[in-house]
Amino acid sequence: MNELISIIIPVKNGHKYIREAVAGIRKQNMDVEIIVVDDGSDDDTANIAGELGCKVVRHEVNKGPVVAKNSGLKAATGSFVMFHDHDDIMRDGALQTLYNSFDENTDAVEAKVVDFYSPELTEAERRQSVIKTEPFYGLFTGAILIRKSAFDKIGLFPENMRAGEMLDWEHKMKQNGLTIKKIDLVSTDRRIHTTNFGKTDQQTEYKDYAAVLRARLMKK
Amino acid sequence: MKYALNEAKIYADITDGIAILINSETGIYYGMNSFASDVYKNLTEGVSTDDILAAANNMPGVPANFADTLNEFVAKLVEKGILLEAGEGSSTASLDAAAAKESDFVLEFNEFNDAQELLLADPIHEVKEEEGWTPETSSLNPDKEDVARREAKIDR
Repeated sequence: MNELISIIIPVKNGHKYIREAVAGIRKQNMDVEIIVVDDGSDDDTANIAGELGCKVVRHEVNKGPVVAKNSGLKAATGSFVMFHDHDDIMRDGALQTLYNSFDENTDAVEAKVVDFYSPELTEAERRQSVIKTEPFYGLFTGAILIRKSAFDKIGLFPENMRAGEMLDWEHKMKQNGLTIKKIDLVSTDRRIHTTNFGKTDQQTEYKDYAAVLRARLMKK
Repeated sequence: MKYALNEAKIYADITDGIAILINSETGIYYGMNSFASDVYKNLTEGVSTDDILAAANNMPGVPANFADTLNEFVAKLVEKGILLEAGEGSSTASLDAAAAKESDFVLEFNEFNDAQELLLADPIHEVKEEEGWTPETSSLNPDKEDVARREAKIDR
């Protein structure tokens, strides 16, 4: 068996898709604990997650995806962690391939994701959401397996951020001499639907991005 | 000549006097030193290059060839699609003498592509408020000391 992998699903109001996401993880046939961080949902996401045998961490107040990731990390007991969105579907065998790609010098393994339109979307809704047609790197969801020990070195995500946590994570991994290995694998299908993007204040979110980029430049 | 920020594709942020510009279409980002950031800020506020040059020429220590430096800087910003030529502007130039001195009147402007994948992977979208997922403002941690402690641990 593998060392325990903690798969963290931060979610708000995910009742429509979370069953599929959990089923995709269970099909990996790996030793995993699935931690659902219910971030103040108004729906029955937490109950569904409990019924599916997931460990549930509940935020009574909506704190956002960044804080939810941290709550998942605090609850994780595995030697490896992965973040997985509640609406995405991991491909069969992907977790094993990610796991097998580690060696002693690897702290994280990154695969690609590919977008797909959720089947219920109308043609008009599809036209409103442009998707990437080619697989791509750069998202946590179901694509990056990380040694839990990496977070002992880099700390949790900064909770004053609303966006850009992946940029921050990658930057701090490099700063701490931790290695991210990319592999040519599409691990997860990322569902595009009408509600999967966080409601954003563009100026605020780009300001978070800029803050991380500014920190990167200070280190160059 | 007057200019305006190409807001359709460039996001710009100036914090602590340092500008960071992100091209949302390419994932390329740009950094500047403090004086370049100050000149850039004037440009995007509608100050003409002539007025900026006049203000710079009133500062002690300005190099004789500063007009060339300024023109080259502006040309780069236009070439990169950051600035667009604009018609009217009403601001008067306001340059920071300390930034000019600190930067020795050099207008440093650098381009970076080391975050392209991440900046392009998950573009920022506007969605309906009732459907989205954003934190309650009160739940975000505004405690600067706590943030500094966290950063100190991470940056050690």
